[in-house]
Amino acid sequence: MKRFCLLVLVICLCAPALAQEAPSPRQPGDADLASGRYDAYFDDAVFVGDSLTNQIHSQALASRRDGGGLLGQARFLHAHSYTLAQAAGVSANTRVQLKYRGQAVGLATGVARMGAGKVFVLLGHNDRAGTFLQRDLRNFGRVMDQVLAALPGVTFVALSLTPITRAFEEAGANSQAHVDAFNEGLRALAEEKGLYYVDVATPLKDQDGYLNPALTRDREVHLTEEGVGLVVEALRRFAWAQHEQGVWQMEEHHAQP
Amino acid sequence: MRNPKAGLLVSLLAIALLLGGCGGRPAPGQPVSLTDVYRQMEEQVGLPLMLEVTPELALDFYGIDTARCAQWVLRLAQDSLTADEVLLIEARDAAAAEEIHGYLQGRMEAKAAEAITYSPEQYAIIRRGHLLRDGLYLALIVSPDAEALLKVYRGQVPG
Repeated sequence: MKRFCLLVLVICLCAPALAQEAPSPRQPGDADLASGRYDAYFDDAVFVGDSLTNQIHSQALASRRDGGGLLGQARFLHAHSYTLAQAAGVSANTRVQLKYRGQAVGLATGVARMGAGKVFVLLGHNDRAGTFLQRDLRNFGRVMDQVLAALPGVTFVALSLTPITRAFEEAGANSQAHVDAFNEGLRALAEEKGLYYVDVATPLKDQDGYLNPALTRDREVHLTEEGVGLVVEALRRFAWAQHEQGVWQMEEHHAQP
Repeated sequence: MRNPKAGLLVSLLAIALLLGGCGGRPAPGQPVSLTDVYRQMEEQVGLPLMLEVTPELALDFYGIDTARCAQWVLRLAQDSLTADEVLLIEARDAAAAEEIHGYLQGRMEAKAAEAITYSPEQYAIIRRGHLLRDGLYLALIVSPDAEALLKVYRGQVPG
């Protein structure tokens, strides 16, 4: 018993020291991510989505204006209120459309015309994703198939749907449980098709699993600048992992400290 | 013999032309800097924080090839949830003006279609926006202060 107590004591004494250890070499440091050195990964990327993607786009443009390089030279294709059903080509609603060079385009056609090397898709809020889970996942699957058919060899990245606030749920817009179920299904779907899935949702959640009220600017789904920053950080972590795994080689001038 | 009705008509036409000229619009052919027009809009009316649309983005986003523009000022609200947008363009020639006008029309329609379900407030602002074409000069003005911006524009750009 004495030996056991001694062992517990030693572990307790060592724990703070262990917690303060340098990050594992398999994890990027915060400063490393914030430096933006992995943003070059997104140079040939096209981000597709709705008003949330528009928010990311605006922040990237502001960063570029101010001399920063948020998400490198990534390009964007978005329309407010755009739905997954429209992207999959199964919606009769043609009022809202993606536009490229002034012409209405389908999602796959658009990214193909833009010559995307990587396609990141963030869609589902305007479908109340998860309410009809199988339908929504089927639509996302269609989008994946269409993009891969239009751009063979493209890197397809499904982004998790960002969380909603408790207030938005109480207003009857959707439920966070539906969003979570959609994300779980999306993760599995991406894995099944051998595509990437990036969780940008978790860093945005509060302790109850809803969108952190401090990170939303409309108490619904739209993000503050800090919220968009957390999405970008998750994307940078993904870029870092791609680099670590040798999937993506960083050019020399980006690799310099 | 003089026709009194025709005389009245001529007089009314003259008054109308005179009143039209009182709006302060510069005469056609007068040089104008759209950068100055935009600056005056900022100074006299005020605009939210805006993003400059680069030539690459102008082509991808609107379809507007700036090589076909003699000058341009393209600005979007940095807060993408607000509809504010000011696009001022002088086309190089009539064919370019025609093409660009079509793109601006499409842009205005798309903005309205996108806003109608998610923000009735922004939708109303878009519906009160202006799409203008005066010869080679084109403008799209969307703002809660669209009328005041329009007044500045008309005071500077030949009509």
